[in-house]
Amino acid sequence: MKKLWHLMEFGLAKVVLGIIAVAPPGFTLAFAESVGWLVFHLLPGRAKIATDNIRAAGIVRGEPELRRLGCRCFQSLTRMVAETVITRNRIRPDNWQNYVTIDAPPETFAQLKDTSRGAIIASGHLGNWDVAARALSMLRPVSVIYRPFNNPYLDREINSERGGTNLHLISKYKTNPMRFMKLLADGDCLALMIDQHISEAGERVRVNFFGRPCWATRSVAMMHMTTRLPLFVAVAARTGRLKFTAHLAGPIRWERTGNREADVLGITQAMTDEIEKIARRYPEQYLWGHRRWRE
Amino acid sequence: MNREEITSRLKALLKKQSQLKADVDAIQEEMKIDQLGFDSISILDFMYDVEDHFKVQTEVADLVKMEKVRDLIDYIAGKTAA
Repeated sequence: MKKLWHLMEFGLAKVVLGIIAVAPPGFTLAFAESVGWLVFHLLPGRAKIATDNIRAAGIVRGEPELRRLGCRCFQSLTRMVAETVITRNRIRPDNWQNYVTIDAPPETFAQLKDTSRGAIIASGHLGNWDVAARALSMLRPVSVIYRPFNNPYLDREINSERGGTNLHLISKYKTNPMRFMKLLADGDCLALMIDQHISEAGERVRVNFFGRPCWATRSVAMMHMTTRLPLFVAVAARTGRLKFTAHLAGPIRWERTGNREADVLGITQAMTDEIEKIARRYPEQYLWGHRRWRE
Repeated sequence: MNREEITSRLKALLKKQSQLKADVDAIQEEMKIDQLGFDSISILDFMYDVEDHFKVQTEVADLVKMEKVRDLIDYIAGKTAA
């Protein structure tokens, strides 16, 4: 039964992706936003998570404004899916700057482009993180650590859309413990999302995000301290139709204090603060519908 | 620090981070590091422990070449002798 359901999901996704690939971008993007609107209104439980999070973050006041922003963030997510498919074969090494503008000091961007050594990028669920990764992969190999879909058929299909020549998606559940280190040793840029709730006790650190405590992964901080490779924070906001600005901060080069957990907290909080700064600037593009603040 | 001492201390660190069910004496030099029960975070904690305990600085390019526990012992012995 489960396999049948997975195959149905897969079939639906193939149809949708096929339509996106051939339909005019303007139509596709508008359709995607309509789907986001529908999802917000048809899934009140998920919509409530978003509006509760927005309310607690203190970004807007009043129920109408909360719902407006909540709906916009759902639309941003569905739009992101369409954008990723549309730009998959459009973004090339000779034209990526037509789609993505880099907002960073020149020396920061120069260090990110330096392929003589690996680099670590922490990012958040805002705007279009896939397009940002694709643009970066035009400059150097990028490996993105992701959480696979429960549906294996869907996972394979979506990843073929999200991946590319120099852009690889690596499941966080792959069993070789040295796999991330090997990628960094090979000079890859390893990208991870750091703004999702982490359940496993040994893998997390408590940080503040929008004034409230939540759990974040300690893996990025540990990776940086162990490898001593430069650590950047990059978040890509949508600034127009198929136009994005990648806000880049860093590199963080943390000096160990001798207190491992204090260092992990310091690094992770610094990255979280950077993501919050961008999310405050573009709140309608942030993934508020995730249960971020959990015990 | 002689090799025997390095081996003993390293095994204790391996036991602490690798979540091995076996007794520390069950860790053999010929065992492969990626079969010791590490995940991608505990291996980082382990590497941190190694640097902290032995007062050495490791290089990621060196670490990924190590296959067995013996390789790690030899690496630390080389670093501490320098």
